[in-house]
Amino acid sequence: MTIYGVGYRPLQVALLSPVRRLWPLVVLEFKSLFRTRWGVVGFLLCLMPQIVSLMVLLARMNVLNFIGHGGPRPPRGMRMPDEALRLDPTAVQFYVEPIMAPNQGLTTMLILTAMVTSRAIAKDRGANALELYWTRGISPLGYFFAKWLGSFLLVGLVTVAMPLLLWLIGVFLAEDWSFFQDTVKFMPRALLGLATFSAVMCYCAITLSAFANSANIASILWCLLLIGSLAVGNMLAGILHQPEFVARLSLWDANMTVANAIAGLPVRASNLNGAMVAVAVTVALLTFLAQRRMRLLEAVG
Amino acid sequence: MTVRLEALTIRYGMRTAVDDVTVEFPAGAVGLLGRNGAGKSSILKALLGLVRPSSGRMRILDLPEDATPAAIRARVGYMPERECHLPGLTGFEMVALLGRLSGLPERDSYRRAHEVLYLVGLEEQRYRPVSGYSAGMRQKAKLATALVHDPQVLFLDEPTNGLDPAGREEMLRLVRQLAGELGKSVVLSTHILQDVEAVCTAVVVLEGGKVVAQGPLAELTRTLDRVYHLQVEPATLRLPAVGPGMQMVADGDGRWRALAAATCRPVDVFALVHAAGGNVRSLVLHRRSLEEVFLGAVRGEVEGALSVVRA
Repeated sequence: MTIYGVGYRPLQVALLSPVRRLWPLVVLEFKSLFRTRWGVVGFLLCLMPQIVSLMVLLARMNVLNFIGHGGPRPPRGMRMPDEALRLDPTAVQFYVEPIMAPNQGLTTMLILTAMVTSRAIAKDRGANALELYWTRGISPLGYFFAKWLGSFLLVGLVTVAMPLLLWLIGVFLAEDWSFFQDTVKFMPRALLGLATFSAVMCYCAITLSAFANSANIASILWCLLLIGSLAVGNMLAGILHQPEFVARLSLWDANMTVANAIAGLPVRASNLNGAMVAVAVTVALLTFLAQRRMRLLEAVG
Repeated sequence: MTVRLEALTIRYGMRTAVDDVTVEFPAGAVGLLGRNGAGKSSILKALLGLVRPSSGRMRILDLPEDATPAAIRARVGYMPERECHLPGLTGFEMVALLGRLSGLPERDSYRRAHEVLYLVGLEEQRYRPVSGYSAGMRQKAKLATALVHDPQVLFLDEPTNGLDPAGREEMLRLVRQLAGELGKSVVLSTHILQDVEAVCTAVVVLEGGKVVAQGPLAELTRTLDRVYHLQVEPATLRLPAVGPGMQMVADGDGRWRALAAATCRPVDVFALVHAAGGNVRSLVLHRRSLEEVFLGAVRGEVEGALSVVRA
């Protein structure tokens, strides 16, 4: 190897395509939570509901035995109460509810999206990094897509990959193929529902991040949007005795209703229509605000 | 020729930032001078494809006029004026990532990141977070990001902003090295005249969105009516007030100024002194400073006979 006095030599390489250039940005966003100790702690906290589900799965498969005997499995096709379904690995609720039920999944989603997704673009804007990014060979749209994909992969690690892992563990631990036969019918739709839910959440958080001026403001706005709309929806539903108001006013519930429908869980048609409109309006509004702030001149001053 | 602009006009809404500018940037280091709001940054942004010109044509290197912004940015390196960095990354990570976003494969981006950080003098600090860098180190890191994909042309927007004298000198040394030893074409956008004088061979002066002067620095700073500063002996020597093609002004104690026409040569000054019975101890041709040129240009006082083009 030749040593050059100024440490600089002409570059002779074939440049990568614009799409392949985005991958490092996706990876950077995906790893962003793991760059700090607090980020790792936050991620482990987000895994807690899944770890509880794993314990339940292991107990149901008689791998863990806390009470001396695992008890007989309920007969196939037997109708069980909703609460019991959440603890039954052969029911779709077992995989979906820890992610999407507000009392279980909200904290996880809030931690992940507030720590990563909602800060993704705002922190770059705060450091004037957009000027560095956009004077490279990538477009603002490519940048936005890479940021969204990176954070979606991170959130999906908890919300999609973990349920899939639970299911695979169940398949391998089961005594016969009956577990696989019982669950394979709903798992693809359940995973698609979870992926849709996470993708929409990440999209909303990242569009909000695109028009915020600082990462902290973006995080606060995101929490206000998610919790505030949930609170307002529940309050109005209680006052007006209209339960469907929740699915129409709360971003979380609207998204959950749509995702539940995709996952094959029973949803009232009126609720689904209202939820789809609510999600579409929120996404459109956030996209409109974000695209105004993602113009080249906005970034480079 | 590195960059050529023809009748370029850039408008932001109703405001015209660049007005019908036609200019050529030759190879080497060229200063783009102008006061704040003169249109320097707008020209750079238009060249980078960040701003769409209202009218006119631009050409960079041998790229076609309708080249995509991505194709332009592959050949051009840009160092922004504003303080900027990628949050949470070390100097090495930042430069390598921007190299990859410029299209370099992973291994090459890492190799280049090491090389350019070494070149700009950040080899010891490359694994420290950029957020902890001093102002001078951040400027160097920005320069490294502009260089990582080995561009042929560099647009440096106020590269000495916020630097102390030592940092400024270091940055100017780097720019000289880039334009000289490494053969890069550098467009140095600044309002600091000394920076341009220190590193540039040519200059383009903008005022109110128009080019008010352009040309090689040596040409611009040469006066039409030359002024020779001379010291004669004996100190009591009396010279005629008017000589052939020159006017003599006594400054006292043997010092004189000869205000000479362009055709007047130093030998004519020597002959005049000899004819008066004295000797010339020293003779210095006074050159105008860039500051005089700049102020003259923005006031519209630039003499037209010096390759200076009035816009």
